[in-house]
Order: sequence, then structure tokens, then C-alpha cells
Amino acid sequence: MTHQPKNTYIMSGRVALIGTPNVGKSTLFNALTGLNQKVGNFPGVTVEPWLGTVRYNTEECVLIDLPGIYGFESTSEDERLSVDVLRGLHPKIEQPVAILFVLDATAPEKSLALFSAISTLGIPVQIVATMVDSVKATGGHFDDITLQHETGVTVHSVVGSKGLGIREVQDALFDIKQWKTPRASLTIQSSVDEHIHWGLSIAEKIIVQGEHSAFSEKLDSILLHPVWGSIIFCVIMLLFFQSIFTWAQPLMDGIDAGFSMLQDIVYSKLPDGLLRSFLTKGVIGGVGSVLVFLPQIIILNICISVLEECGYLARAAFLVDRAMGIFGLQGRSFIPLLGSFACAIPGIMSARIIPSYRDRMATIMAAPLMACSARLPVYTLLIGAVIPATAVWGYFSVQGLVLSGLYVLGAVSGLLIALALKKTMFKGAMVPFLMEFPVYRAPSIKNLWLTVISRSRDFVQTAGTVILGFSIVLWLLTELPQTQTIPGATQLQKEQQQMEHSVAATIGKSIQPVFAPLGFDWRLTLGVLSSYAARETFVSAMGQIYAADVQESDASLRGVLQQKLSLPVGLSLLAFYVYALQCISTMAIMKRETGSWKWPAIAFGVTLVLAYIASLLVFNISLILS
Amino acid sequence: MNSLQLQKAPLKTPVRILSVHGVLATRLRELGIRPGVICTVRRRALLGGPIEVATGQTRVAVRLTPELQVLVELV
Repeated sequence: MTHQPKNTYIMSGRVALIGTPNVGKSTLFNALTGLNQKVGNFPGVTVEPWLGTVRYNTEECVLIDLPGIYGFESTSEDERLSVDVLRGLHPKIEQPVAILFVLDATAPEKSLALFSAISTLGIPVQIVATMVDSVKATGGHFDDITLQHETGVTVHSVVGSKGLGIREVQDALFDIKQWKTPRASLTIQSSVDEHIHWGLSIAEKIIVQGEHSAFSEKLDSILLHPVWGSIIFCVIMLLFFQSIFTWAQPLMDGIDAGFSMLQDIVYSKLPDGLLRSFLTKGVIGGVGSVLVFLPQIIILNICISVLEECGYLARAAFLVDRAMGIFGLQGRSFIPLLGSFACAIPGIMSARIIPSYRDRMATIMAAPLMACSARLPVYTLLIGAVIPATAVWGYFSVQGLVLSGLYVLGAVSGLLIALALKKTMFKGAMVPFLMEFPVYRAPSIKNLWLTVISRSRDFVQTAGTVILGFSIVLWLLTELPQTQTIPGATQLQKEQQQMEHSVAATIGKSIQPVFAPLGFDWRLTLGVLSSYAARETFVSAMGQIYAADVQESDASLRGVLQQKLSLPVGLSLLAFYVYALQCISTMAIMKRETGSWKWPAIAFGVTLVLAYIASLLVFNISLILS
Repeated sequence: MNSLQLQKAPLKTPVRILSVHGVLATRLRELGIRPGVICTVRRRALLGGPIEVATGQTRVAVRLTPELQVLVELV
């Protein structure tokens, strides 16, 4: 990003990028704009499109990436946005001055039916044909010259993932005056069937189809097989969660060691006093204990992006549609719910692909119970502290299995909440599951990289702002009021005494009776309370509360907790975190997507009650058993 | 000619579509599932789940219910 003042650029206006779903539109968007993209922040807009900027010397062109549509009859929220913006009916986003139309060369009839609708708008258009390489690879032929003659607009052929032809499209974006308005053969009043007809008639002239990808066919016959497909699905899901726990470990240990070293250096260089305590505990301890989880967040996001990009997610939706039906949902709900394992915020936003309002609402209410990546640090810390690291069947560890169990518990509970809602508040006829299968594709490394970078950036930003802020406040509360130390006391005794008499301890102790039935002492109570800012704060809070012990025993926080936490208390805490909705951002996004505070308020209340009950049960049962 | 519902058509056998009715019927037509077109049911998901329909290069997963009906005939 450059930091030059805005007015040195000449705005060449806003160009909309539009096409049917699965045409490689986002790959093209990424190829055109690189990292110069952000979620468009239009005040009062519920569904936010992505904005990207293409720069050329001092000029810049703003591209708006609209959700894919098949025509002007929308069936879901995200499609409605595209249609409204294109037709100039959107109250907040102005109509684009030009349209970059993405055409799928492997299935031009669908793209052309949409093109026909768009050509009634009277806006200049250029066509970008994608997947021309796949047409050629399967022995077909794509005639871009005839397409140019039939539509009257310029046609570019690109291979977005390899960057071929991208330069020409970028150049064209700075020459919009030369763009032509397509010859409209139909009018805005024309029916969908007329547009489809026109699309078919042009498609016949421009394409000689090759064989359907034999590779896709073969892969489908395995991955969608009633028996093998279901087994493979389960294995993929199991590997998905195991990898988060197992593969990230060495990286996490490395980051952990780095922060301990930094802490030790600062500790040894500075004299005893408030500044040393502030830097080691408040800043390094607080942020470090959260940043340790960056590798897990990265691996999780890579997994979800790969599954989505290669085309497996749509197949997974097909496989689980029947099972989702048990909970009153349909296959499409699987996609936002799986996404919620990374973060409930993009998960809840992607629920827009669900056509039925009732299904969409039920999915949104279930999403916060999917174990998001902010729960992961808490789970990892607590599991590491109370569950033995024994291996079973070689590859799987008991810790990994407990982690999987927590994920399953959250998912099933979320689905049961959805079912309860569908049986009561959102009762009504099912809207059938309908989804197009994209052709299998190797995921583009560049796309993956962009997605992972932007997600990790969000996480690091939270760690750097909200969590650092809370960490500092908590540090102040633990250092105030300063207690007089007894002469002859060791450093550890001094620090423990300070903690025992601090404001933080007073707060923890006064609220602790509420959580006493769950087995939480005042330290854990303080941790749980602080995680209502963001779940990961629990880890940094524990890091501060037990800082003296960590320093003294030269062990990790996990090592200290191993001694301080009993199994029943650890399990009780885990149960609490499975249910509790402790995320201000999720509640804000729920309000935005549902249009009312009622839904986040209900979700908050219900999950708090569930968390308390689950924790109470787990604590008492495991007390009896041990 | 006997018409039957698409989800009951024999697997991997070409059938001609006679009519598409109900919610999301427009979307099905946009995806290429419209009267006159020849398509095949490629597979059915377990336990009465959705079916996969192929027409041309397009593959569509759909669960046909009383709310969304596609009638076909054998060719």
C-alpha cells in the first residue's frame, strides 16, 4: 500500500466485475488487484462486496467484485446485492460506469444468458473469457472473434491462475472511454427464458465442446460414491482437525520459545520495578501468549481455502445435505458452518448463499457454536494442561482426540439449536437444495496466499489492539494497589503477595461465588470474565495471573497450569468454552446480518445458560468419577 | 409417452425434460435444466438425499421435493 495523498490519483471510476458463479471471478480479481483489496465499507450496507484497486502510474481504477449471479432474478441475499448494484437500484452503492464481464469458456451458454440481461443496461462492457485453456485441453474450440462480432464488445482471453492476459485487461481498465456498449437484442422487460435462448444461440456459434473433463468424472465417481465418498469425507474432516493440532505444534513451540527468550532478555536488562513488570507481563506476555496460535490459524485457513477452491466444498454439501436435513437445514448450510470453524464472522457472512430466510437464520444462530480459531488457543492450553499426551494407534494422540471431541460437541449442539429454531420460530416449508458443481481445479497458490495473509492480518491486528489493550488493563489491575513487601521475602513470594491483594484479585473474588459450583477459583473467574472481550484473552490473562510462577519455575504457562488445575476443573472450563458466545465482533456481525439486536441477544443468553449447565454437569460428574 | 419424476429416472440413462415447476425453477432453467433438454441422473446421495444431474458440461446437485418438480420422459 502506498501512503501518498489520495488526491494525487485520478479516479477512473468504478468498474464492476461480474459473472456467473464458479467462473474463476475471484482468481481474476486477485490477479488484477493483488493485495490492494479490502471489504468495501459502505455505511448502511448489509452485504459488503470486495473493492480492489488497480494502479497505473498516477491513475487508479477501483474494481468492485460482486457476488456471482445467473440472471436478474435473485434467489439469495448476495445475489440481490449484485442485481441491485448493476441496475442502479442500490440505495448506497452507485451504479458502475463500466462492467468487466467474466465469461466461462467451458459453459458459455450460462454466461451468455447473463450477458444478455446485462446488455439491456446500456453500460459499456468488456468480456474476459476464463478457462479457455480447459476448453483446449479437452479438445474443444472457443471462437473469441465471433463472440466479439456477435456482442459488439472487446473479448480478452486470460488464464487467471497463471497471469496470462492479465496485463491487457489492466491496460483496458485505464481506457474505459474506448469500451463499447453491447448491442442489446432484448430489453429489460424480456423474460429469463428469452435471455437463455439468446445465450444458447450465440453459444452454438462460438464453442465446439470437448469431452467433459474425464478427470473430474473419475474423481466424482470416487468422492461422491455412496460408501467410499462418505468414508473419504469423514477422513478428510478428521485429518482437517488433526492437522491443526499436530502440524502446528513445532511452529508454536518455536514462537513460544522466541517470546520467552525476549521476556528473559528484557527481564535481565531492566531493573526491578513497574517498567520491567509492564513490559514482560503486560506487553510481551500478553501479546506473545496469543500470537503463539498464529500457526494454527494459518493451517486452518489454508485447509478451508483449499477445500473451497478445488471444488470439494460443493461436493461435501451434496454428501451432507441429507444429514443436514435431520437438523432442518440443507447442504448449503454446511459451507457457512465449516467456515465458522475458522471464524464465525466470515461464516455468518457466507450464510448469504442460503436462499431461504428461515434456513439462513437458523444457520446464523448455529454458527457461533462451531469451534472458531479463537477457541483453539484456550482448548490447546487447557488440554495440554490436564489431558495426558499419550498416543493411541500411533498417529492419533489422546489430546487430539479430546480436541476433536470438543469440536464435535460444539457442532452437534449448534445443529440442535438450529433444529429447535426450525421447529419453532422458523417453521415452514423446505427450500430445496440446489447447487452447481464446479469442475475440480488445483487451488492457486497465489489465491491461497492472499486469503491466508488477509485472515492472519485480522488475527494479528486483534492481538495487537484489543488483546494488548486488555492485557495492559489487566496488568494495571494486578499491580494496583502496590503492597508493601515483607523484608526477606523471595521474588516469587513478593509477586504472589502483590497478586493476592490486587484490584484484579478483588474483582475475581467478588464474582467467584457465581462460578464456584463450576469449580472455578478467583483466578479462573478473572480469566473467563476477561475472555468476554475476545476468547483468546483468557490465555493472556492466565499468562499474567500465573506470571510469577512461570518466571520462578522456568516452565511454560502450560507446565504451571498442569500443577494448578485438576482434571475436573480443566474439563469444566473446556465445557464452558464450548458453549459460551464470548466475542463482541460475532455479536456485531449477527446484528448486521439479521438486522436486529434481538438475535445476538438471544444467542448470548442461550449460550451462557448452556455453558453454565454443561460446565456444572461436567465438573460434578468428573468429580464423582475421579 | 409415460412421464416420470426426474429423481425416479434410471441412473445414467438419457431422459428428455418435459417440465420444470416450483420454487427455484427459474434457477434450474438458467443452469440448463429446462424443457426439451436431454439430461442424465448421474448419481443419488444416500438415503433419499439430492441427485446429481448432468446436461452438457454442467453438473447440478439438486434435491427435488414436492416444492420443486421436474418431469421427464425416457428417450
